[in-house]
Amino acid sequence: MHYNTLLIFRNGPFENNKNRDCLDIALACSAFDIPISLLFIGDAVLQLTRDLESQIIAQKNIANTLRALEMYDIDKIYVSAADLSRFNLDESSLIVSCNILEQADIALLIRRQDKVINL
Amino acid sequence: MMELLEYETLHIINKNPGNTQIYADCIQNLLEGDAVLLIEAAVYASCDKTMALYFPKYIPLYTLKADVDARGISQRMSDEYSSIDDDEFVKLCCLYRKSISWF
Repeated sequence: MHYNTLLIFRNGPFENNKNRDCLDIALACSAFDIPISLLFIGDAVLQLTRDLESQIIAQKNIANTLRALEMYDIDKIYVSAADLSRFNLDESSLIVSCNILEQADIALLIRRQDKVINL
Repeated sequence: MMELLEYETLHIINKNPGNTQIYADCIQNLLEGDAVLLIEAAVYASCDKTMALYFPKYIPLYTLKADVDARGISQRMSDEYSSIDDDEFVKLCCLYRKSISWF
């Protein structure tokens, strides 16, 4: 039996390697047919925005991997509505299609999981 | 709404209370049936008067005894917290359906 697993992204782009590590975990879970969902809260919502030009600061960009998630059957991507509005963002600012959740629904999303990985 | 169980999620924090975003992320996602365990530097939150106000009243709060004693704060810990030893830590992890580390 496979556990429903949620990965929580909490870090801003280029802050550290944790968002990339989370994505690697997501791809690994997909390879083993583990049902995986991704949740972006706090500064991590910025990771989903267009126009990140990582080469200017000699960093790697995970945008292409994010766009490829659909090919790995990872389509359950959730984003905090409060954090999007905090940064003046909306659905059209994001590079992948996401489910935008209010805070109460985020708590319920977490409760529904069997495992939660929080980097 | 799904069935409400008694022992749902054990939220574990290990950063000192200055890391406010971690505490905010954790507290916003607490639901009835959950509990919070403070370990390592997070035990300092148990003697931070402002922090006790943010945790909902219905959430059991625990601190890890070894970390509390190592920092000499057992006398200053707020009444809301129960101190548990390492064996009880393991029991708590088994008792709750899952745990989430807010590290």
